[in-house]
Amino acid sequence: MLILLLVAATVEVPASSFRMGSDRAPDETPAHEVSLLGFGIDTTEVSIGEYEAFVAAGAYATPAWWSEAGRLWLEEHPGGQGPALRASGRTPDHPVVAVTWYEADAYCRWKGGALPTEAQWEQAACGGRGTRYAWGDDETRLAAWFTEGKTGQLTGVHTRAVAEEDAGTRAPNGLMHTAGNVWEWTADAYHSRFYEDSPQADPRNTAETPWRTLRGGAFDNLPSYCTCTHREPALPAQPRLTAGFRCAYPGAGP
Amino acid sequence: MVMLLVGCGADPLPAGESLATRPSDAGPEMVHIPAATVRHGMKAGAKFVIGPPGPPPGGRAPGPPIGTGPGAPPAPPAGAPPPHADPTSGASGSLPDLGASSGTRHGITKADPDPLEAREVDIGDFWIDITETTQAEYARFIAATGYRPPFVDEPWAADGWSWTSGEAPAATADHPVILVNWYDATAYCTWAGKRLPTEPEWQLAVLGPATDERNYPWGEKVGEGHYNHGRMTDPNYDDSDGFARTSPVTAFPSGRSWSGLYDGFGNAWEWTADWRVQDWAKVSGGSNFGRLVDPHTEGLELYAAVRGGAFFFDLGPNPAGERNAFVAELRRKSSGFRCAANGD
Repeated sequence: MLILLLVAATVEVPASSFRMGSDRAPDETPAHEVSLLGFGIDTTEVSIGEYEAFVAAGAYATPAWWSEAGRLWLEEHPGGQGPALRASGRTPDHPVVAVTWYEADAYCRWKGGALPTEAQWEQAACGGRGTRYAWGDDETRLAAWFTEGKTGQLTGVHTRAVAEEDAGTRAPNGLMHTAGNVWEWTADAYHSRFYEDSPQADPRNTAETPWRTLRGGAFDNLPSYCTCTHREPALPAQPRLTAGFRCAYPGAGP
Repeated sequence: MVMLLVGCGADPLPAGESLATRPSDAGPEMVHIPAATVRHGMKAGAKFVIGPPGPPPGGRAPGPPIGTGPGAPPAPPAGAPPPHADPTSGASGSLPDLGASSGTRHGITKADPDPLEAREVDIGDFWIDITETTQAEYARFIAATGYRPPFVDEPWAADGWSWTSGEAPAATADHPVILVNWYDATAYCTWAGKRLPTEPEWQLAVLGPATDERNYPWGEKVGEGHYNHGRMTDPNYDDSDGFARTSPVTAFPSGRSWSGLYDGFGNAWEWTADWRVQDWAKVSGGSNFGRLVDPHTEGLELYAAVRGGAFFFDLGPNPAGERNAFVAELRRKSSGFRCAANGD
């Protein structure tokens, strides 16, 4: 489709404020007002091809690109899960999976950015519109999720290419696969009660907890796991076949 | 360490085994399981039996009246049957490919969908919780760590399944925690200084060693009063055992395993440490003259192995009906867990 050629690499989110969270899940409450500086964010999830270019550039041999915790992880895992698991039988235009938080963080540093905070992710994906998904509440649309999660049988890593998505599930600002496809690592430490006393301006949970937060749900999840506000705790060193990421950038982009 | 003999209490064990027990810093008493050889996987030629053998469709023997079951359970709300806006959330929905079957599945048999044919493997000694992890214990974990409370953002879950905070619902504090996925269960056991049992460890603790393997934790025959089961037909709940939903984790003493474990069958499905794989090449471990020792599954997968069945639906005996695969990230109203620990 011609439109695929017109996908901008990043979406610019101007300085803004929005209502973060929901009145539903215990870890999404209270819904609260948050203000953010302007930032850029990848339109798409990072693809296998993009990630393997990072590897080819020397990712695992260049500790300078890694966080301090990431360097410690790197010593024990000198090649990550390896290209076969990261691809899991898919073509390079699909989202990379089986990367830890440390690898995702290093990639974004290499690109001149950082993993988005939970607040940046939620604002970019859903704009504080208060709907369950970027496009509204309709769960009959064909997002890359698994509506047969309780009754069906998954036979593999059934993602879609990062830049292929029905217009009906794209965010109004153009962000793709915010609901489903792969979970996306964010910068924040996970704590279920963070919203009770989080900062109003550019919040990011930097507390020492064992977990980071995944957002957006994945191809193996029911729609209810793929909402704008769902927060999923995950160990930063534990890769999943269902988790990838996208990067954010200060100001206007990379 | 306090050493006790299981079987000295009020609940005699069917097998009369004498095993060491010890208290836990977090969670229930643990029992020590000695090293043994276990049958892991499906017996060759086993059929995947969906539904208990015996009773004809629609002719299930009635259980004891509500309120007279083990543990003097509270009667379910009078009048209305339990809401079941999520009729596929339990075992019925998770059974692998049932083909064209629909409606009642009572007694349907199907060729084994899991070609991991049984082999005997050697298991070292280990400790395992005598009960499933309770909601009260899980609440302690949440309070200590800020972990995610059990919650599913779907309409059916608002009817008493999802927690509304980090506090366990008072009415079910001594019931197994449910609406937890494999990652949640792993996180809890790690916090408790424990780990999930591997599938063959679970097999050994609940059904015994290969030389003395049982069909059910309590013996060879299915029977009322031993476990909190559901039923084969919609809505798949069954209060003939005294409980429409989950039950307190020690409510069925007569259903204890040879090792003293409660709820080996029924109440909540139990996550194990293993992915559900269909190929022995994905199972690794030590070797004892070619026989696997302490096997575990390698690699990343999407489905984890669960055992034991639940209050929802009803299932046949090992090695078929109570062995299943759930999407590791899915939080079901029927899935809980118990923890284990390495031998000393």
